[in-house]
Amino acid sequence: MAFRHSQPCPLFRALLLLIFAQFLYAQALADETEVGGFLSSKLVPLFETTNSFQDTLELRNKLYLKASAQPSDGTRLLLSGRFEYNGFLKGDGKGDYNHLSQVHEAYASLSFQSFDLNLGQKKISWGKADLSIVDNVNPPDLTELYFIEEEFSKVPVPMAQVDYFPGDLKVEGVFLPFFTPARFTITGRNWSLISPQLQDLFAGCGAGEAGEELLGGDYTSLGKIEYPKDDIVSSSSFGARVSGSRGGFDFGASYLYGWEPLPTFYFNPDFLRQLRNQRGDLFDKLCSISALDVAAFYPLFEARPRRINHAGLEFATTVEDVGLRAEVSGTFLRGLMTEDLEVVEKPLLQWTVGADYTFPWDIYGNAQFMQMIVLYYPGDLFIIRQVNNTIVGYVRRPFYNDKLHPELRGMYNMTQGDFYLSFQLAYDWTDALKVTGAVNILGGPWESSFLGFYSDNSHASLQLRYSF
Amino acid sequence: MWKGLFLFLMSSVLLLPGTALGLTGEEIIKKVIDRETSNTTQAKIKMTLTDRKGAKRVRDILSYYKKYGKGSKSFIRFLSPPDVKGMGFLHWEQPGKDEQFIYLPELKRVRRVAGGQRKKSFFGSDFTHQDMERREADADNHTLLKEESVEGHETYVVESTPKNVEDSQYSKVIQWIRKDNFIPIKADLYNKEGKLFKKLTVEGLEKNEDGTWTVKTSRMVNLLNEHQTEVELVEHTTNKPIADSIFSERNLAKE
Repeated sequence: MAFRHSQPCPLFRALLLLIFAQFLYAQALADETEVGGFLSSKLVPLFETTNSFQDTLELRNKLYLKASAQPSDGTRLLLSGRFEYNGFLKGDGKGDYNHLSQVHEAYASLSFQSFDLNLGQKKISWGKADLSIVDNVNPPDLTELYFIEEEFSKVPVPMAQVDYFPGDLKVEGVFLPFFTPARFTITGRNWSLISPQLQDLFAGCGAGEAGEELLGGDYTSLGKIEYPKDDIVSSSSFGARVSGSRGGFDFGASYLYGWEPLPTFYFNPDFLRQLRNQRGDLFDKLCSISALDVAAFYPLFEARPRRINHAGLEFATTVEDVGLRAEVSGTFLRGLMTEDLEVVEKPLLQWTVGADYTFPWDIYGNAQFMQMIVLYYPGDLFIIRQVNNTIVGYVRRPFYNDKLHPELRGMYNMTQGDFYLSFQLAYDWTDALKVTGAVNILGGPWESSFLGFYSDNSHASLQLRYSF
Repeated sequence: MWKGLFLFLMSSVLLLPGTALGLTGEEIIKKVIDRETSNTTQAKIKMTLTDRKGAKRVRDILSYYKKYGKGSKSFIRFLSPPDVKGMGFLHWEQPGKDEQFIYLPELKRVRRVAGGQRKKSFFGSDFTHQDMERREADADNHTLLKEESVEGHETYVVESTPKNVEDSQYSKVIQWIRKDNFIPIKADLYNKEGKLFKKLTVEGLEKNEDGTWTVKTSRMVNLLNEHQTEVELVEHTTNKPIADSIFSERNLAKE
């Protein structure tokens, strides 16, 4: 399945063109226009191929171009583009590819005495924690799950952003006129929402024939994804954040009226009734329904993003040589799936606390604990329990005067038992050329944990990145 | 003990009439610190890292410094190389209190830096973050070892050892301080094991029109790994007004 591209409305396209035209104009005027970016190539072989739905080998090639100009004091224009050409070798020996070329960020930034105004497509960052639970303005890019470059981990969004600075405070208002989806694939790739393991399971059971169409990437014969229309009334989001630093403490509070990062799948009620009549666990039930029956339930699902309210608090300080960060967030209401594939709406409460410290011999350690609590827990949610605990962390130490960077990184879901463990070794060959090798291991109960669904995707990677 | 790379490099020092006689080590170090008369400094700095094989890496840095009473604020922005371009540091320093922030452009995030990272190398250089901080004279014990002539300049040779060993990355620093202007022109830095592992030399001292002096180039050599860092002041102005807004998180987050 190819990447899904967001389709900005004519008004937004006109805005981008205007910024681009302004950029060219600024280029003509500015003494210095800065151009930079990087070119990278990453080879990703899986350790083991367990089914034909996996990409046993990926070659991801990226070009990122970024240009900025400052035509006058207080005015800055930024334009960046992301270009990809990716090749895939499937488990059955067949090759595949996809490509992408799109504007990444394009915005004008205007600074005044006490406020800044940013207009265009951009990314913003809220929160203090390394893995933030309040940073929800930009949707995630999940096409490589956790293994994507930091520059691309969030999807830039068209927005108008005002930062007002009364004294030491920062009061931020953001208005997003259009809906922008997260980047993901439903099937067809290693990191698709329905992982190759699940695809293989469905292909091998009774629902296989119908599933083949889904697994081939053509989900439209089974269901549909509906995104909000490109009109401001039905698709816009807005939010506000107050933050500051005082007396050695950083603090912030935010609210966002936005969208869930991924669409919620609503299954056909008739299909769900038949499912409830089957025996066994969810996968037994799914496999016991014949392909013919599945086809009769069209549309089997309708996936659509849900409106959501996020409220968050954030905090950071240092105590002696320890850095401390904490966040609390409330989400009202989140669409969650039951073990019978029904959707229930529940409020979520999340909190996280993290610390970092530099040990002797320049060893830097960073650890974070996260807890997600489902309020009014219905008792039968798929994967998610009432209280879900996760720890994440990493350790690193530079060698050879900051040229060699080994890093061990991990995440462990204490509730479901799934995890990933990553060892990375990066070497700065020159100031411009970096070589990075990594081993990424994923594991966990395959039928009852998020990362367990991807536990056959443990892989190595080798990346060359040339920055300019 | 060691009063900080950028403070040292960017300081303009008033020329004292005559030489001081009969000074103790502590008095000499206090004069070194007190002679830093620049209230503001703006500079473009070129930092060249050279490994034992002669391979060079260059970092271009824009730097601002301003005194605030007994404290100071400094702001650093990396202009090159490409992989760190846009990264910024903000440092608010008050006696007994120190706050540092880093801006990470790829994440678009300002992050408070914990104190422990101050002893880390400053972007692969032979200077640490702590080298950039002002160190109060009374944090160390100072002993005047001898007086010595270095490249035609009469100097005091002062040894400084930390009163609290946990408080410093060095067990001992010996500085050669010119008698005529109280500028350290040479320093030997000893690690926690008491071994000499870094040597700093100053290669250019220029007298400004207002009678102050500016250190133009200095070199830190790590004797253990034969790596060295040369810091050159490419452009600089002193005692020119710098807006307070430069030293804000708002400015830090502007690439």
